[in-house]
Amino acid sequence: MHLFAKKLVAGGFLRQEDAEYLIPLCGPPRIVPASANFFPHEHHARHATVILSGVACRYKMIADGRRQIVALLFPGDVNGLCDAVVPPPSGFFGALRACTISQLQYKDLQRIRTEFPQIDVALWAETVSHIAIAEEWLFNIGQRDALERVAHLLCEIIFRHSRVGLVGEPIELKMPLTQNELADSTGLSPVHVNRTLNELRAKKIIGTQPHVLAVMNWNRLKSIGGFDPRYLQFSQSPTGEHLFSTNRIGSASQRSGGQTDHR
Amino acid sequence: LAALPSVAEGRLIIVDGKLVGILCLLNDEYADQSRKWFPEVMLGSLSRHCRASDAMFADLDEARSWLQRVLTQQVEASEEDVGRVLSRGQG
Repeated sequence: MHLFAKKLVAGGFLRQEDAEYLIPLCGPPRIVPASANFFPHEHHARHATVILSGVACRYKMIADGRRQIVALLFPGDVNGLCDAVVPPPSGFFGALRACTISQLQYKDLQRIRTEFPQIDVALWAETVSHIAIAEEWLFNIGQRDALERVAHLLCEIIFRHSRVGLVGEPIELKMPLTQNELADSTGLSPVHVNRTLNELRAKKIIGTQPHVLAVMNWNRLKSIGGFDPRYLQFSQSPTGEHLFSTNRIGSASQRSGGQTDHR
Repeated sequence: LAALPSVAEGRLIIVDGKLVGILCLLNDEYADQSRKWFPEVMLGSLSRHCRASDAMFADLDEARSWLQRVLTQQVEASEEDVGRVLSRGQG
């Protein structure tokens, strides 16, 4: 299934029949080469971008070349859902690895908002999830030391891939970021990132094979990074029953109706 | 350096009698960065230079000329600031 819809269905925010309506709205897949900018944020896009494969990021630059990656986007994530409503912040949106993307047109988002509030809730969940990640990153950069920061980011990368089924057991995936990109995501120098990865390898927490992120000891990695995946989980019930049976999140009409009929 | 097993040696950087940073010599664990000097810590307004991609030196002489360059930039930048304040004052 389309990874974006799969993530929202698994999180309990989107019902299967709604996913079948949403998926065709995402345009045909398109390939974007690595290191291409999709567009600067200030560009007036008319669509949100769904990442189907690869790695994208939002980043900001200082004239002397310093770069901060402010958000990573992995398969199943969407960039720019809010930009249809509020002008986007300054910065850039680029592909770190070659990406397959599809586009969700703003006019279709508008229609979803008015005609399909239950899908709109799922899109809000996606947006709120990105805010939760951003807060966690702020915390990471503000308070954790180098080892904790890198461990936390590695846990997040693994978890975000696992919830769309791209990581299983054993925990292993092609390393999605270079050391420089890890450094720019964590506010560390590449030397510190290198040192930290070596330390994690020496302790047999991650594997030594180059370009592969293999976790040998998930519990240790989690505990070093202080990683609590709740900020990446959409709902407490993976089946979504909790959400749809109690209408704790929903449009006004759903709340007043108090029933589970979303159409 | 017990807390940093991957560092072979260290040097304090002192300018005009003031401590402004610490240079470390990386050991053999670093692939292409091995046996290079690196500003582990820079203090105050010099701290941003730790993350510059060119802050990696084959020897202490190279580190010294880098530091010279960074300090010159710093002085020029602060003179520009002073200039800006003065011109604003005149305006």
